[in-house]
Amino acid sequence: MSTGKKRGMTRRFFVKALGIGAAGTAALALGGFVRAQDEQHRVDGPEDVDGAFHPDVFLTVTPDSTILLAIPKAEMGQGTTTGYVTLVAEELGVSPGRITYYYADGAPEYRTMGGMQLTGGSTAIIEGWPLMRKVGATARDMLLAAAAAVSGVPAAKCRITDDGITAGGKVLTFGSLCTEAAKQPVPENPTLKNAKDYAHVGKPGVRVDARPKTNGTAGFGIDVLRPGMKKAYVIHPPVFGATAKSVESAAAKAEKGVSHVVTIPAGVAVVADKFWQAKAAAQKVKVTWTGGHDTVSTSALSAKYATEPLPTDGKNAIDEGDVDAALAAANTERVHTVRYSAPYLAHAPMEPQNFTAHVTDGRCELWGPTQSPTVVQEAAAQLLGIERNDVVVHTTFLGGGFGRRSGLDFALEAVACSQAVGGPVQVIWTREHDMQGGFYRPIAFAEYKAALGDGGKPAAIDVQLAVPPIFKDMGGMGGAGMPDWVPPGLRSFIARKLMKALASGALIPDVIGAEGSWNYGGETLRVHTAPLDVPVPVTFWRSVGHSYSAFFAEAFVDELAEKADQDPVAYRLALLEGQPRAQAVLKKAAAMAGWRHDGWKTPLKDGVGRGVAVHESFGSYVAQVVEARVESGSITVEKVFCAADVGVAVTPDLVKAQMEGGIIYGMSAALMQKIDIEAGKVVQENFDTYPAVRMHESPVIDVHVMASAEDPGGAGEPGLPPIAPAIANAVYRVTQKRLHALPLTVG
Amino acid sequence: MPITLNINGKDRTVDVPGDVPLLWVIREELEMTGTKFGCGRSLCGACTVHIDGQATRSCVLPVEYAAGKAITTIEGLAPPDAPHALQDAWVAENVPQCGYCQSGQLMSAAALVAQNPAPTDADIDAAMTGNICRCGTYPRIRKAIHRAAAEMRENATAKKGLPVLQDAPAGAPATGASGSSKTGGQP
Repeated sequence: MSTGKKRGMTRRFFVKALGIGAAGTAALALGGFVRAQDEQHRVDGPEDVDGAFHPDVFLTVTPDSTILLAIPKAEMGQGTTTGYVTLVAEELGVSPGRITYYYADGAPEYRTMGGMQLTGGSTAIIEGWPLMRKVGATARDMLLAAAAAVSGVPAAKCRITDDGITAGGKVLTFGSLCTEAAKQPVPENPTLKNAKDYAHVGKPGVRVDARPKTNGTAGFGIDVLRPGMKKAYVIHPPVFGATAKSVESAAAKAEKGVSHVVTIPAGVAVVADKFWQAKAAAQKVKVTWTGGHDTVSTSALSAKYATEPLPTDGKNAIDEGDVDAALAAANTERVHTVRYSAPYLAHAPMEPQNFTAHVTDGRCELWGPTQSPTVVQEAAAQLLGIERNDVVVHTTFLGGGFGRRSGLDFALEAVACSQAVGGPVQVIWTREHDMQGGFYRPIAFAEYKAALGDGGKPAAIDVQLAVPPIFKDMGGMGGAGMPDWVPPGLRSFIARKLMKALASGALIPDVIGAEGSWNYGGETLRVHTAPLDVPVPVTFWRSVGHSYSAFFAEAFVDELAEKADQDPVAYRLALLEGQPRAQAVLKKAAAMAGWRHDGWKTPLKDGVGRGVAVHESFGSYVAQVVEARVESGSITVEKVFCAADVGVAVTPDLVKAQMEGGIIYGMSAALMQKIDIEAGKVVQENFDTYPAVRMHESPVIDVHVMASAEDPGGAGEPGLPPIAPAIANAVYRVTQKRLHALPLTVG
Repeated sequence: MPITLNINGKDRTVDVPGDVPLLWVIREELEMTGTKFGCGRSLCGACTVHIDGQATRSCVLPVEYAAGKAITTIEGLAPPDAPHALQDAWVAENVPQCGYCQSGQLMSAAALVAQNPAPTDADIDAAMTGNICRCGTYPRIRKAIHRAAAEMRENATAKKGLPVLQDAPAGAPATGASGSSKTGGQP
């Protein structure tokens, strides 16, 4: 049921605020910039209960005493739901299980991150730490005030429990206080609990979404069932950028259950009652494609940048001191240079991409696994020519995200299909679609150069990077991040122009692509990054730039330590002067592993070497020591010791789980994964050619989460960057061969 | 072509060609979405069900070959009010992250412990190698299998009740999203 409720700042309000009056409004209207309807189309959500108490847009208390929390983030396994519920429960004074959570529907008031409702960058807990505690405390204060008003017992003497508020020996249910609570003033800055009083934050606990994920009831995007919904299999072009020139669809249309074969921007959609019908019928469709980028070759690129100078026409992300002078002045045998490379990577979450859309007159309702409802709303609105806030997005559980589900491509396919057929359509991608559908972690080439000074320390560091910038495919997100009052056409125009300019490197360096290139600082340090122009879509992949930069940096510093004939741990500790949190995790990981500071040169035992890496990313510090066996031309990671400082760990066991997960996800990439593209075609297609670590390959992982009172840093991504270099450094101990390319191979 | 399947103890008749994979019959004809699609080529294990107690990848099994056999899906592993020891162990050990692979993981693990009450790490490796988890929950899966197997052995010999394991109470919505997957509506 749609309610057409007003939400947030409407365009009418903005016009008023501008003070441009009736004439100005008319002018804008003439210009086509002011639309007739400025309220957001909504469908009823769990919070729409008569008589409910809404202290803010996040929390709802219903007359039957249900406490509802709208989570403005996506749950992709990282445990944000549990983190947010725990924070609210802590301040409110109930147990986490007392709160019923659901996912916010994309309404403007949930756009808490860069103008978007967005989950990524390991920021959810960083954002939630102040926000969710305030939500809990606000509700607490207002409910206590209500209890006081109703009972006559002072609020300070009332106590909140799971059953309600105890006031003077009586228990008032939350539901009974709804009306009175709504009358109370909303506290500006409610008092937050002292850490020493925490009952839930920082304690062992079970994630709130565990049970449904063990019995088949957890609903993912692919599980969405809508009345009258059709399923679509979209035939994608064989190379990126090609379009369908002609389509022979008679045979497919004759198949049972098939209702449409229709060309959409992404390819040719076969629509049927069931996905198995659409998939089978698609094999009978003949498409002639035209255009597209059919000369892309990753092997040619890799061969080129194995030896040719990296482009120098980019920008410096860091430029301290005079690196050129320092290098020129150094003795050549004191200059160490290494070339590195990392391939394109697919995300390959277990749930293939999918989305469900229902386009009706001037509106669109969507269901699916997305990291950003706003990105989807923006894309759908632009395609349909409707207002963004007339698009409602219901976020399901995500069967893995890893950055890929911040994209709009798979959702847009569902919108286009629904528009074409005039009813709800679910698009499902096969694993082949998913692995070959682009939006990869960018390919990356680097040259690291150091001039060694006194005591073997690097006196000058020169880093050159060549990476296709993620900016080039971020137009959708750019538009999504702009406010509602910017007219849609203008949002799209500005976003495209802005992202194109950012991608060209003309405005600023590719700071995303260059992040984490050298975390050790230094007075003579340059990180130069040049944008590679390769027509392959790229996007955020778990830990983004750090996913390759940590390998480059930590493999390189290991070589510098060796040149200085120093213990790799001690060498790094000295370079980390002034970074006590990084030093602390490095020391801890070394201690956990029993690192032999005098015996680091020799393999741990026959065929088994130890390697170390430390890396800061997303506000957290992680160090890892890996024990890896090398024999018969293969690398086996046997043990990983991991020390992680994430600031306050709201849900320590889930932080631990994120470290384990980041290690295994990173290990798959480090040892097994690459996306090759030849003549524009992606070579890999399923888990046989793009493998992942399995149970029998999974190492013993020992994680220590450092105790900390610092504000939270991220947990979803920081566990990943150190694993590849730690493995490479361990392998070196056994083989005496440095590995400079990912994935790592021996023999 | 009408085919009668015995799923979780109930006979269900569907009218599909015999070569449609059992997975899609389960998911689309019967609208039972607990069994997942991950690869379509029996490479990932997300589609694992039991056929006469054996862990089987349903994405490559033509439905006609499942007729006349006892099919168990994740929904039928255990009644909601009496979870399998594995399911309780999964919760207690915070095994699931995204959760998408876990139906398949549990079905593979359940077949293992049904046949082998005291699996070693090597037994677990062999039984579970076909189930990919991209979130990296393997260490916890291993721990949970050992935990559940130990409880099941204890239960079998001492006839004690299962220990109460802390987990989210029944009040939390099953999907955390807009209602159950069946209706796509509100919780």
